[in-house]
Amino acid sequence: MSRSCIVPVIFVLTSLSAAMAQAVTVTFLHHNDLHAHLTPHADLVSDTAGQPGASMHLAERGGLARLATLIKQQRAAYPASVLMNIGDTYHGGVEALYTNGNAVVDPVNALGVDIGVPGNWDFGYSPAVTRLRYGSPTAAEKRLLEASAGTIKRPTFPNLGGNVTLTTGSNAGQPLMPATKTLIIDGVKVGFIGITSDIVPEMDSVLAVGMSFLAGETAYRNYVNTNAAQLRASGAQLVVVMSELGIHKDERLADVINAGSVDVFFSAHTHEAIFEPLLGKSGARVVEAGNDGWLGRMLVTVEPGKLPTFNWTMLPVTPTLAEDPTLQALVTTARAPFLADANHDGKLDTPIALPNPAITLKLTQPINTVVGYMAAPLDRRNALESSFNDAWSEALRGYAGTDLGLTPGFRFDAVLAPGMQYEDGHVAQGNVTIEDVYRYFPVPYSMATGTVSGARLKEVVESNLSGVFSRDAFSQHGGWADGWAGVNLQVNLAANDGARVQAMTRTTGGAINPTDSLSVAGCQRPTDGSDVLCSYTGFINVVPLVNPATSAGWLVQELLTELLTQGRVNAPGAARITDSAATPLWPQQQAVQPLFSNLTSKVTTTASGLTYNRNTGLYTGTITVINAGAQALTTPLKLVLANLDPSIVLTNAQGVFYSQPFITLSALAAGGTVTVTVTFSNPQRKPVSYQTQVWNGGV
Amino acid sequence: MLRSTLFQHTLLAIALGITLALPAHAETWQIDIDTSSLAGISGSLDLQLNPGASDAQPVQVQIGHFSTDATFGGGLADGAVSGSLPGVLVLDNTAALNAWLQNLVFGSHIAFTLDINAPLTAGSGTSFAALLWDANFNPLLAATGEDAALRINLAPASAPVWISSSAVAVSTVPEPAIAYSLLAGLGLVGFVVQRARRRY
Repeated sequence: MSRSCIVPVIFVLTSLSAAMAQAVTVTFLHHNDLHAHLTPHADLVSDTAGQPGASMHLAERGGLARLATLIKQQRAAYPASVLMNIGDTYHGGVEALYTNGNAVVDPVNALGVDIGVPGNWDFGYSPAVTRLRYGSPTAAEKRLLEASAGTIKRPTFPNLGGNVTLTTGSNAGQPLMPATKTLIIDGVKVGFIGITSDIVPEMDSVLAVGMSFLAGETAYRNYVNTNAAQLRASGAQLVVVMSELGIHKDERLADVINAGSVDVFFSAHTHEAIFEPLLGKSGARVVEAGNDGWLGRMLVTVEPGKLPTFNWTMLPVTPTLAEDPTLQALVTTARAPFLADANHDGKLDTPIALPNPAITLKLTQPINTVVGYMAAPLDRRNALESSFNDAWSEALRGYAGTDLGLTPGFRFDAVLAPGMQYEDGHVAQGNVTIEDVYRYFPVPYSMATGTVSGARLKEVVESNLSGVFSRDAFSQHGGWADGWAGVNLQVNLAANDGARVQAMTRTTGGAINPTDSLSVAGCQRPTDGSDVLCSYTGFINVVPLVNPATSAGWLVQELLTELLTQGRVNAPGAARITDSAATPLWPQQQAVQPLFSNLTSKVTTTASGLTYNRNTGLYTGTITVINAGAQALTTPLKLVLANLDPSIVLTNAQGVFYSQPFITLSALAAGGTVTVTVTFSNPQRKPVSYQTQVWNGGV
Repeated sequence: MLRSTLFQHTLLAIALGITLALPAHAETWQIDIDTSSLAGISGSLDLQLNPGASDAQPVQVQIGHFSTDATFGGGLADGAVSGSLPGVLVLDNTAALNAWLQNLVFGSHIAFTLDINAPLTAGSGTSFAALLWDANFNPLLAATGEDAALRINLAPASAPVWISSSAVAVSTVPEPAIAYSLLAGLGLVGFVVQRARRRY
């Protein structure tokens, strides 16, 4: 090779090398849990952006036309981007309910989503709708399914969810949706793992017919590990999980999966606005972008020979964003049938019935019709007790004339805050529209009454509290806590599962004894037997609550509308649930459903030697915890002794965290120290071995 | 002149260094326990050296110069123990429980020296404890909030923490090596000072 050739070759090689070594930033735009909210709505926003604080304010958030503008702005600023849509999308609003979700499909498709994962409520119409929307039925199967479900619009972007396997049909044994997908973004190979809901069979077994859902921590750990390994083996430089398990389970998975297998969990389902990513033991970050009203942005910079770096920002969808005209037109088209009142007579031009003819629910008035007025704030934004659940369960109890009222702990919400000032200065009116009614109840269930013993009532409440507040995320299920009227509950949220209820008393006075028989007004699904009320078995003589005007059973939307119209849904009085542990709840904690944060890296711990007491057979010592960080560590604060030999017991443990014993710590100022006593029984005199962890938050 | 001053200062620095450089982790202590309030009671003396967890670095203590007017019964060793009382007893912290249980009828006092070798730099701490039990293993002469009459917490990179009841008196016993260092250092200081006085 001549000297004249060598120089250009070296130049080219050098340039190539420089290009290969160049850092590339991939932008993940994370949108989750739209809940079919096409238009802006009121929201309650913490004043301290995820930090513990005592206050919140009313804000206008969301609206697909504004979201579209924000997405366009972000994609212009960060061209190497991917837009993810995760969680409940086509369910949660009145337009969606009356169209099997179809009304929402075109506007969401127009957002330019690259990849998605369905939420639990996207399974909420029927298995036929689910298969038509997300599956790959044959032509014959499609005709059969459409015979029951009608035409179902499909998302134009791929959806993942290999944790659901079909058990019937031509694709039996195959996943409903693929588990993974790989995208090349600005030269970076990114592997996506999709996890859709694991709780559909619990919601209603009818919705899970023909499908098998992966269940439990071990199954999901293996699912993530296996798929991540395959993606890495195929050359993926980044691996992310899009998950409908909720941030509590995803945080746990980030602790137990193989180190370095996953870069980020993008979570949905639990509606938590996470401003500071959680960091799992595996090295994976975990984030969730609230629900409708936020867009999360994760910048991940990849550079050869270096670990990726991460930068997470929560971007609010606010009224300052211009409405994108294309999306606005689609939203207007989707909503037009629900607002059409050409005669201005307060009636829809064409009444709209549910796609399922077995349910008589019907819309006859425009959805912006005001059906009631609230004089005090009403929301369902608290994991333990919310003003809406209190108000509605009391109205229901009063109407039904029962001892108790019960309403499910949905995460559906439409904040009504009369008198509260929005960010832009205008004051909320307190009007309640038909659309609001459906935002609280986008599910067409019936109302019913039954009776329950005091003993079974306690079990029901315990089960519900474990489902919300269990320290083992994979023992959690459902949404937030149910709403009860007619009973005051004394609970200890910091207790272990099954031991939280301390006392139950009637609001009219007197303790509720195990042998008492109490009448309860609640809800009933079409397939529930006469022993089931609001999904709980063990009730007696459950019968429909009948509308005397029609002699038909009340549906929840009908009865709520009726009682709002009559002015019988009133702001609740004093709290009915008292937590003896005084557990801080949102916004005192960053998450509505208390979420643990691992602070182990921010402290140092030193164990003293142990002294053996020959009388008790116990070993006693101390562990000293020093806050090595610059930030104070707030309560609830726990010192967990992990991986203790099963034959060695921490006898002064105050509870368990993922089956590991813990001791409660007091708050620790920056640089502060706290020393706690530890007492072990060690009958086999084995070497005492454990890892200390410090967690705050949670219960 | 300059060289002489430099020599003098160097010598002084060495002398002070020798004097002050006491070993940090090899120390001998004299322990005296006043058991006069227990005289005639049957019970036991329990000397333990236990780690906080299995990641504790090796620690060894030697109990010597044991003296008492108690009436001795049998003794029982648990874990890493060599020797026996009233002779020299060596405890290592390698097992969960490393202890010598000496049955006795208490007299008026118990005394012994304690050599601690604990060059700890990381991991969990280790505790030496002297516990006095009655015949039913109820603690006697225990420090406030403790089972032990004396507990010494040995932790990485920090001085031992002593917890003891009022019946326990602790004093230091300079080890021969330390004493020789001290004497040599002081001697050098004296030499330097004397030289300086002669010059001026």
